[in-house]
Amino acid sequence: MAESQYWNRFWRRRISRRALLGAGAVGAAGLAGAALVGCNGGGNGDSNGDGNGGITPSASGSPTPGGTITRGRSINVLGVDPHIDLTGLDIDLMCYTYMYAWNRFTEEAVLNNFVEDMEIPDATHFNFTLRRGFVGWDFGPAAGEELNAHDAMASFQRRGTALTAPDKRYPQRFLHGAGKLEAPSDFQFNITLDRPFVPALREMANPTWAIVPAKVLEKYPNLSQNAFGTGPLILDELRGSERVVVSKHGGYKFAPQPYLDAIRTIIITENSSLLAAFKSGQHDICGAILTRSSADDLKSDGRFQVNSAPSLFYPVIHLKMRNQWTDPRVRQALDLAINRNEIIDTIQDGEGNYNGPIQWPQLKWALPQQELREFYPWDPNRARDLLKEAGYDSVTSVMKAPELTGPTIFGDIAQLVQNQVKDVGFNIELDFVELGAFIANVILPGNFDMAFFPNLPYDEPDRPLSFYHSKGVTGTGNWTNYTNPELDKLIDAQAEEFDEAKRQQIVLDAQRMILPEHGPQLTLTGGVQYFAAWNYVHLGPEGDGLTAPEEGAEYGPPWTEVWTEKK
Amino acid sequence: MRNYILRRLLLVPVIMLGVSFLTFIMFRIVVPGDAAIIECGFGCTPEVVEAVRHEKGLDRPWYEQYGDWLWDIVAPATHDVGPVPVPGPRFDLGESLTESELPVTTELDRRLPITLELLIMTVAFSLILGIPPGVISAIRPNTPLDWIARVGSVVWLSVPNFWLGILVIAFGVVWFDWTPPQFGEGYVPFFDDPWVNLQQFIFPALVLSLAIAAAIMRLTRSSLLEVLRNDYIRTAWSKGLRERTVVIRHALKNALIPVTTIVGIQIGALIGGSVLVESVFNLNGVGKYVLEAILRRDYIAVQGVVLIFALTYVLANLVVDVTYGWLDPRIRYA
Repeated sequence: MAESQYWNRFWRRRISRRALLGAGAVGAAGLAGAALVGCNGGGNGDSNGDGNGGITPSASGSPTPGGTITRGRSINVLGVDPHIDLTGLDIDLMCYTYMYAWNRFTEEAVLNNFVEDMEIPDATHFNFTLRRGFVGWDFGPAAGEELNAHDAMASFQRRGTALTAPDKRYPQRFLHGAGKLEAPSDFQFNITLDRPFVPALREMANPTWAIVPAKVLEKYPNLSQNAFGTGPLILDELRGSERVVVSKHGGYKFAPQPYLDAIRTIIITENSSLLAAFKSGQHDICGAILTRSSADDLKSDGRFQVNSAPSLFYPVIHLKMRNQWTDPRVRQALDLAINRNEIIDTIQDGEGNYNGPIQWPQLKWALPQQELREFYPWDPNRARDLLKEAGYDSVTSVMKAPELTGPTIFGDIAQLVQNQVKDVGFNIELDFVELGAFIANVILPGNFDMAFFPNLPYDEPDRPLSFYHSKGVTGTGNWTNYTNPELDKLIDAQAEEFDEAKRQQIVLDAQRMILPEHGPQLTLTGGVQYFAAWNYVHLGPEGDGLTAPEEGAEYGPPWTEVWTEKK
Repeated sequence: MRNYILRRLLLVPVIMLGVSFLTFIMFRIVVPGDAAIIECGFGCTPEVVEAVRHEKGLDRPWYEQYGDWLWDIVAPATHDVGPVPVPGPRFDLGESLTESELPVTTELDRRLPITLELLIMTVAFSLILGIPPGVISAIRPNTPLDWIARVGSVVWLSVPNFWLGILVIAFGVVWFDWTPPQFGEGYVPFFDDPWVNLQQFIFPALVLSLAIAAAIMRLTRSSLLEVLRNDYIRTAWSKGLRERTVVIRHALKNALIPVTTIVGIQIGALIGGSVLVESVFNLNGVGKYVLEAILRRDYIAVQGVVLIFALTYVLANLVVDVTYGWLDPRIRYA
């Protein structure tokens, strides 16, 4: 929080800081800076001083081809193997063809990619008619060759069996039992599941399910540093901790798209530097994690477009079901000692809501906000009584949390919670562990009494609920030793219930079963995330992904319809 | 002198062996975490972790892993450095344990010039910003110039360089809408575009050099004050020599011996400092590489980089030792 607070104050009070700092502390650097940038037209982004990044807006606003976009990114791209590596998925979306897109706002498949038509005769059969004309880039084992159903099958097989793939709940259903993949013809691809899985359709649109030509997979078992795709943009340069450059694939199926000549992704792991690069015009799309105040600052500057949406990331406290945490009264006391409103007000800039087992932005599936707020009152007196009832004057524990680079919001929340519960008698020692060691030594072996970390931004109820399943979120194990056979039944049932109203009821019932348990996961509040870009960047009908596309809008695969006025 | 240098150079492989062994042992025994688990992520079962560990050879006995790694470095090979192949050690530092599996040597080839340029510019700035104020401060003690130099040095010593780096970037944006070019296009080598290259390095080098310059300034001042009280300096004054001759030719050379020592020692601190400054200024040098490698438990990359850092440190201090003889001909090397 120290850094984010500092930056908030800095941007708000820049004039007074300027005066203060101008007095001397960085005089030498400042003078040298003036000397250097004075000869550079006074900045990177707005050399003609028109406040518009040095470009003339298009009068019509219609897409014009050409131009390059630079976007910031805070996390290194360790690899771009779409089936295995999770850090390069945004690049994979540019380079590969996918089955279709998923509109999470309408919860519908958008047939804008490889699948031309689909037939779902029952809950376990998915028959896809594939579109012709997706050809491989001009180099590599599948150069100029048309993508077909055998490529889709090879890709699904590989993704499904990938050793380190993040989730096995869906592929387990077509790899085992009666489940199978079939390619009855070159452009017909059928999937049979051995039992229903409601999120299956959504899963297949996930960026880890890229269709890679089978010949490429045969020749390159490891695609971490190579890409030979059929997608709209060709991977030109990959330096995972520096920059990734992709350029237009001239033979793309939906030519003349993509409109852009190239997209340059610049990786800067320091959040404040990333924001500075955007504001100075070196980046056209902001890669920094924005707080409300930094977003407001950008909004007040007419040069930028800023959007926001509720964040699906949510911080949680995991409790290991042993010692004092086996007593529900102790868990409840901890829950009552947490002042969630204070977290929203002080850390989430007043923008946030309570989360139940499913995050509040998933409006269809989450418990009503009123119910959650009533269930999680801040009641330190009752918490003290409960502790006493359970036979404890105080509880001492260690809460392990990962040391995350970039924004400090999660560390700040952990520290605030530590202070809040102290008043009730929970003496929590906060142990920040380097991320690698946290995964290796804390989470995976379940080596914690309490653990604090942000859950991934799942936009579907199955995965958040699976944290409470005996088999855990990955289907391979549970870190907290929590088992509740009745709850397992509900979680399994919702994964196979296609009647939405019924499923909704099961999901709500499951959450209402979880709440009084006050564990093994205590969910905290969720805030808002922001997107910012320069005004001359046009994102196309799909938009920025945070806000819903216009109703009825037709759009192509990611990045194909982005264009820029800056040529 | 020649024998001394030869002896020191012969010691280099022994030091390197010790450094590499200690790094290897520390990472496997002392530092928690495992590259296989980090690559697997949250969803991994112990069986999968074991399979990845096997794939990467991490399940072999430590001495086998260390031996293979060492052999790849020292094994004889020929290098195409000219018209005739030149024999020498293979110097293959292995492949990264991350999924990229990039050869460490390739990464170092690309990143070492960045860090070396940063270090060279930093040392140059440190000397330029440290020695002249130190001299002025010593020959004009208790004057406003002396006070300014002394207070300034305390300030520079107290301010953390990464914080200063963030301020410099903030200054650039707020005042000039400017950030260093590497924020938008990555590293540009000096010979490709000297002007852009200078813009990339001047601020990180300045930021990194200020604390060292402050230390040099204070040491130069105290050392020069002491030398100026010597009899031979009094003799020089009494001969009627000009102040510049007395200070520069007679006093400063002797006063610089402890300063040279400090510069040598500071090379180590500079390497450490470069890790942070490279991150703040987005210079993709060796410092940033090793930081990322440590976070991902990429032992092979860390071992390779530590070896290079140790080599740099040892050679820099050899240069410092040799410089003593030039500064003071009375110094003899046994």
